Amino acid sequence: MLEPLLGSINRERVLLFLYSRDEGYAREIARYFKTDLSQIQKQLERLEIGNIVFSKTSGKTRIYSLNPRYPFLNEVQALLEKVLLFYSSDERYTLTHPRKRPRRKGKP
Amino acid sequence: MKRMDEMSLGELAAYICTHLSKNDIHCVLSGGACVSIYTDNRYESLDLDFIENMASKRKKIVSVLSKIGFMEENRYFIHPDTKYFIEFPAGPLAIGKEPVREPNIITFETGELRLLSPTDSVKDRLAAFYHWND
Repeated sequence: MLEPLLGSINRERVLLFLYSRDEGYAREIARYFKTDLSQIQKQLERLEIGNIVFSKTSGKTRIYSLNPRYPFLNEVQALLEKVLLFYSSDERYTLTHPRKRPRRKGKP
Repeated sequence: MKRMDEMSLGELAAYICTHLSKNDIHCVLSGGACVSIYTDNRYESLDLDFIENMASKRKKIVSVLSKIGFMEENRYFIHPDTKYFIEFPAGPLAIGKEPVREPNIITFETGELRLLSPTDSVKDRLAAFYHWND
């Protein structure tokens, strides 16, 4: 939806994911959108250079969030909120309600 | 003119800032380097974060800085005669959500430095600590 504005569908996906879940890592985002990991990594890197997202490490994983110090954060969030309104309720639910508890070991 | 390896952080920053300004690249020093300058290096920072509100083309910055011996390495600019390095973080220059209207100006013998005021500098560092644990 914001591809014409942002110039990349994967940039939109990254922003939407981080907005909906507060944080995320590249493989998780790529897996969710069933897209190429390197493309997601590239967008995260560009957004970090632009100060729109920031990262911290947890073990070997680099975890990204929207940068609370970005001066246009409120405006970007308002835009992403509006984009979410155009998603179906199912899509919105799976994006905003990730399964946190791991599936029990041995469960089919 | 002092040799670059004899310049303090403030003198070097002023020299760079003036050189950039003469070439129509108008930027303001931000981040830890301001704290170093205001605390007489009791807090040491090696990176000079210059922020432009209207970003110049990278090619132009590379060309202008190469005239004073700074070479681009990844996102940074390094010089063989100094341990300090330059970065141009993305703008705009802001503290929190508000633009910085009036940067401070300090004159050194090497040039004029535009930088965050002491108050804005403290706010900037507090925000970095609060939001990034930095």
